[in-house]
Amino acid sequence: MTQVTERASAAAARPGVGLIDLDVHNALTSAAELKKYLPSRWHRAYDEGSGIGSARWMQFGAARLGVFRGDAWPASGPPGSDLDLMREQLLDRYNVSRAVLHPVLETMSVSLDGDVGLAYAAAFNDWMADRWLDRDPRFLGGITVPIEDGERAAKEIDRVAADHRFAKIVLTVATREPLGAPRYWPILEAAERNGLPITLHVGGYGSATPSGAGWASFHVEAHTNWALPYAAQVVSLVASGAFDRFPNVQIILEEGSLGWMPALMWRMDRAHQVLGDRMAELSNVPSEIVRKHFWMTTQPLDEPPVRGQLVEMFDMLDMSDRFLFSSDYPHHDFDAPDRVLPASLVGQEFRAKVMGGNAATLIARALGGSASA
Amino acid sequence: MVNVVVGPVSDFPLGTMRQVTAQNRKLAIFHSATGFHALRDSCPHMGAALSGGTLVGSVEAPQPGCYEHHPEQEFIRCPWHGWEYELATGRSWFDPQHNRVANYETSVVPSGELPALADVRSTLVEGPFTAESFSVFVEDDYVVVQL
Repeated sequence: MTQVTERASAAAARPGVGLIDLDVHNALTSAAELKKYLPSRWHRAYDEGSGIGSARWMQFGAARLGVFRGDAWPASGPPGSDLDLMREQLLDRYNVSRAVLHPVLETMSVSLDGDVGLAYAAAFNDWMADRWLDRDPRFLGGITVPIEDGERAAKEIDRVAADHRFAKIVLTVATREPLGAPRYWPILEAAERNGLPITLHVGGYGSATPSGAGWASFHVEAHTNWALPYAAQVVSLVASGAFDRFPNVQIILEEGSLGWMPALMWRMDRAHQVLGDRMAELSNVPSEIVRKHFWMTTQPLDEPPVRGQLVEMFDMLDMSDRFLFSSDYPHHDFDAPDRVLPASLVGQEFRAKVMGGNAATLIARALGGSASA
Repeated sequence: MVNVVVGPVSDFPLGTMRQVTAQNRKLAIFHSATGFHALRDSCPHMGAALSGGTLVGSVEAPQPGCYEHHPEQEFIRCPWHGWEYELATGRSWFDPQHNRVANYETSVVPSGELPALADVRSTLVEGPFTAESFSVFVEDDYVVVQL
């Protein structure tokens, strides 16, 4: 373990930044744990069917190991619920400087609109601060919002953002309408107002299947298909002119893979060239808008059989300041920080940026906040 | 090549999958139906401890709808991404040329046949470090360390 830690540390990032993991999942020890943070007004509805632990598998097919790493189960409770085990398997083992948490499996399966949706989101955020951020300064939080309810989501962002340990706003990538739609503008506006990036994470129910082509039968299909709604959200946000309306909004594409993006940028630029007079006027070509407003996390990292093709893909993207390391602990497709993106393949400078330097720029507000907390 | 004692047989009952450290190397020791096996306890893919994996047999399908289970062909399945390594050789049959985990010979020998400590020591040279040591003795049923 000592050898691993030293290797991860030495290769991590520029001095003073350390290794930053943008995608780590904590979890409730049990559904009942959230009730401490939920007004009693909602307890009966919660007890009779919160959605936690029920409907979430419908999109995954028969998920391998229930989507968890086989060795991540604590003595009691689900993977991600035991702080000490997370310290041992992630923070301490790899010398992680900051891990940004979010309980995505729980939040994607509860109601996230209306008053009850706002109550659930607020409960998750208060639980995050109380049960996690207060207990280890290496933890930062993702803000849960009632995704489909722009006004209430903005209200919750404004409430929680006062705590600088929250580093990002979390939306599931599957939404009822594409994210360029006006119903989501209050979320973009609140993100800009509070200087927080918005993460799009795998999950959500949306108005159609995530693939856009029907339900998957097997996990291998669903797992692969999750790249597709990311592409659709990029197109929607760019084509709607959202970034001219909210010029400081930053979007993290989290767990959506990377390899599809170069071709999407070429395709958008070409379409904009020939059809641009029929859409919102953009201040730049789509590919440049992508490079100014989007960030991409690395896990699950594409592993081409010819390893050098990974570097070619990064070159095509030409956005080396905007890749962010993520492990996805404790999920089964975890990427180990001491194994992915070796300096021998991508170069020491590139690796240092991805493992912490880029994130330090993106979430500078949270890093300052947690250091003084 | 040196022989390293990792413990008495009674510490490794049938079904044991356990990490031990021998000569600064973390090893996964398995006591399966086919005997004892030892692998480097680090998956070549991402570094997970294989001792925390799942022991499985192999399944072949000579034709659609027909499955043959070979429990004697034992594989350890990595707890993270599911890569599988043959216990006997450390080889991954998914991609045997590119993914292989180091494999070590194991044997059970009567205690009388162990090499004498002096013989083992004769192969070593003195290292740069000395660990602080304490006297330890057994009194009644307890191990006692003198600090």
